[in-house]
Amino acid sequence: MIRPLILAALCLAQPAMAQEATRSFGPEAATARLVLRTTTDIAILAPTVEAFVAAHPGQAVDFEQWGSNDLYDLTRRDCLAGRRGADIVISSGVHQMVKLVNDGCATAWRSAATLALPPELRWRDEIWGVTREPAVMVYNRDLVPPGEVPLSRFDLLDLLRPADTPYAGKVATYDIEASGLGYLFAFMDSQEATTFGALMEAFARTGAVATCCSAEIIAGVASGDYLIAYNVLGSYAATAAAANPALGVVIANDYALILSRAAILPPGAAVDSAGAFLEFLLSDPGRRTLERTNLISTAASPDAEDDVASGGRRVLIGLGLPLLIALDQAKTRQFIARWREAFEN
Amino acid sequence: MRVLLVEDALDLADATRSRLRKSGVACDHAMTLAEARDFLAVQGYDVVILDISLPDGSGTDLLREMRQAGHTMPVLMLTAQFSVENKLSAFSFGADDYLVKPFDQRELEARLHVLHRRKDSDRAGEIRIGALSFDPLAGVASVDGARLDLTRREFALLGILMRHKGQVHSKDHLLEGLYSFDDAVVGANAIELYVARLRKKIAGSGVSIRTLRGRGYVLDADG
Amino acid sequence: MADAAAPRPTMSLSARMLVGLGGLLAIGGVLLALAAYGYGRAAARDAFDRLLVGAASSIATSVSVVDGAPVVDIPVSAFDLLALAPEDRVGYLVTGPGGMVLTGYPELAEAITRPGPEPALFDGRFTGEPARIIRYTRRFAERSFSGQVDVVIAQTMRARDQLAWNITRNALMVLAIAGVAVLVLSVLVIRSALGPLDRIAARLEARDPQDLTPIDMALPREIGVMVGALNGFMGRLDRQLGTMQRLISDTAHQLRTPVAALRAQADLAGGEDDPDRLRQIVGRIHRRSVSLGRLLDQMLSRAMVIHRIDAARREVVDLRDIALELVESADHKLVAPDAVVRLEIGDAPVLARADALSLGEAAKNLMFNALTHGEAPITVGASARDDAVTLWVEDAGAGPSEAVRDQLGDRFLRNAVSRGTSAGLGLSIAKSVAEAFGGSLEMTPRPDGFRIAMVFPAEPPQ
Repeated sequence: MIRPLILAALCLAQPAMAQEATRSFGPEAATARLVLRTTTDIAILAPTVEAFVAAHPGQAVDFEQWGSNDLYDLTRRDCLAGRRGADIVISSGVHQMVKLVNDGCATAWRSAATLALPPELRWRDEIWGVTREPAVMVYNRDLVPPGEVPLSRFDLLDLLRPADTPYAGKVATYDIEASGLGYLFAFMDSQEATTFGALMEAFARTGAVATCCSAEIIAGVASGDYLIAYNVLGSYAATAAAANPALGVVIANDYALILSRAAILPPGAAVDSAGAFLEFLLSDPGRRTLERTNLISTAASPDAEDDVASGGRRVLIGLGLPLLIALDQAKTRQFIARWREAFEN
Repeated sequence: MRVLLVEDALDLADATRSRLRKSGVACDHAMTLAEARDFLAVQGYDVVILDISLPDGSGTDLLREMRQAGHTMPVLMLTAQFSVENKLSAFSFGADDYLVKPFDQRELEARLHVLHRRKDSDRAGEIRIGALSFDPLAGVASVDGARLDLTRREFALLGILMRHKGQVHSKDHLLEGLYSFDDAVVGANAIELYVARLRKKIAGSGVSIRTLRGRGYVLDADG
Repeated sequence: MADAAAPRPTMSLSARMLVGLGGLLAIGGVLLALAAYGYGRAAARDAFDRLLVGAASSIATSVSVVDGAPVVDIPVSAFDLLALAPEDRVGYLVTGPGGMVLTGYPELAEAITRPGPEPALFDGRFTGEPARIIRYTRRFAERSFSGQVDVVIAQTMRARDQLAWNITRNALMVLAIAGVAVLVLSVLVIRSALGPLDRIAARLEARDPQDLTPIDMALPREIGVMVGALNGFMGRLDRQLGTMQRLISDTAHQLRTPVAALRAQADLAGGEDDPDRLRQIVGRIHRRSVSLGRLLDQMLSRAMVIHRIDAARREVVDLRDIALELVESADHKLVAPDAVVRLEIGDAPVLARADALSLGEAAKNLMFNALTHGEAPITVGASARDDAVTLWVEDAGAGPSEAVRDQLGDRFLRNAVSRGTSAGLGLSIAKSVAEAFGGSLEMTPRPDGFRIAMVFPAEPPQ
């Protein structure tokens, strides 16, 4: 009774959505086609998909890249409408994925590989964390003196404290209204430590910039528009830093959020193909391709003691019920209201 | 009278034969069942005296054969067996009378004559009520042809009751009927016991003896 | 014992016990399993209901009034609590006055209106799965806001089912272990309980075949009953064996004398030419043989009576019947053809608990004694007196001699036997029978004769 109403409301409320990019892997005349929808850039995940297709002849993968909010909405609408959409969805908006699972929009899959995951990275055998990516700070090596490179959130606060700080207006972070991932990081920060309040206050005071998308932020740091970017997804940062020596990456040593992108198999998915892909992601060859593209960060592993900037706690964003709160309407309203207060002045 | 004596004790048989011959009874003697069968095959007898244990089998087997073959001649069994149960079972084999060894020759003779008379009786005086028949001349009462083992007084009492079927007989009246037995005085109280015994013995014959309290007894067919 | 008939084997006691116990355990197990499952479900329900209450109350507590409107700030702790059921999905809804949705899953709105005590817990469904639902209401009465806020939480049942199953399974495992233990123990108990039987069997096997003495062993009471019966049986066997042996020895004694007499007379007859003397000798031989036949009867009668005393069932007997039977029996005519035997009985039953056949034999012996040695008239009777009943034979003579009376009960009656008479044997039979049925033999001289009576305790009429 209530679903069609919701569906109608969603249809009306949502602006037209479009995938950001698509690409097909594997033979054109493949017997099995797998629709993969993900927030991950095609370029970054391509080696992994290619390796998968190579290992599974006759299997093609239709790769669709989406923004995290759009991807959530689309998957949710497919689910409510009982329509077959993607066969596997991998999103950095893990709270959104958890909500899909909680709302019964996921199919179970059980194997030795999924059971081998740590309990925080699987829930109900319907959602699995497939990557390990720390949230990092990126800075411009040329413009930020080595002595001022912030190694922790306290360092960042210290940089912003002086009234005439040169970092005023030069610190960027995700716009949490535009980026599901940004919202998630901010939300987790607010749960994790009191520094978040101080950080918000400092951002507000110094006119920090909230903007969309990892690539945009990193490009801004590289170009010198921003000196420091806060809470950037480590995989993109590491990839960009490898290409551009001007970029420095810091994993905060007070604590570091670790994101593990969540995969789900929506209802109606071609479970065999999707399951095979999931198995591949969790297998050793799959993990090696993910490591090569920094989707599995060695620095993000809890025992990565040798990392230069490490030393702090690793806070793995666990896949489970508590993440539901991140999507609670009231919570979201309050959180965003607070955010706006900080940035809209 | 012609009698067949089947007995394997030669001295006993000889003595018995001599005794019977003196009384004018013709007596053939068989030592075994086989010999007895031979005799029976060629000669008719008025009475057969049959010992139970014989060298080639039991006298009861021969008795059963005879009855099956339709021989109706009276059979008097001799038994050395002691217990009462065995005495009674002689009748169930179809014997007409029995004697327990050792027996008195005079007794044997008397019994033979009774059996012989019984065989010759014309049954004119026979009374039948239900399955119960009473033959005063032969001195036999039977139910469905099976002879009842009655003492003489029981027999006499049954006779009185059957002859006057439906009439009430007081104890004293019945006792009078037993006056002929002058060898003993049993008293009126014994009548009750006799009636009880008779009831037991004629059970299942379709005839019953009822007690009318304070008045006496009456015999009636059931139903 | 190799040639003894093997007992028909029926199901062994151990097997019976095991089958019975197994059946009992199976039925009990099923019942207990059902009970355990029921308990497990109830326990799981209670445990997780408490989580639901905790989570709902913590959410309700987080509601505050801001600018005259209720505002929810769902605490993470509420969901941490719910996450204790790690595999379960959760739906929640917080509504303000009039069912206005503050946050959560609008599809749970139905639960708001459901009647029930607070907090209301009930079974329902959440997105296609069975779920346990709680409605928790918090009422505000503040200056700026007055009304109620309802918190609804629906939680799927995986953890509950799992806990219920775990409890059941653990209970079943304990049950199974206990069941096996009971079976093993019962086998051991049966073994040990049946141990005495093996010992008895071994003891009996080892016995001398002639040894009929009671088995004397320390035994459990239950088996003691059986061994008691066995001992009783062996006792009877022993007595009968004794009877047989005595009978054989008596027979030897008592038969040899008359047979010797017969033989001597026959020898004498063989050498005698005088017809008168010869007739005299034959007469003696005849008397001897008649008396020998009588003696034989009595000895067999005694053997039978002794056998029956042990073997026959006691029943209620009307002594008048025995007396009548006795008068009826035509046998006495052979002994004393001219004797008159009277019957003297009353009109009331004279009841004793005894064996009719044994009584008949005993009474017959008394009557023959009277006929042979007493004087006519002979009276046979049955009468009651006080709490005793008597079956008696009376004659007009003076009774047996003092010598015979003194020897009463002495089975060795050489004197009587050698005389060719057997009064003593008859008396001894009557005495044995009387005593076997709890009575005694009484001899009473009377004004007009002598009475011998078997006296028994009276049996009350039924």
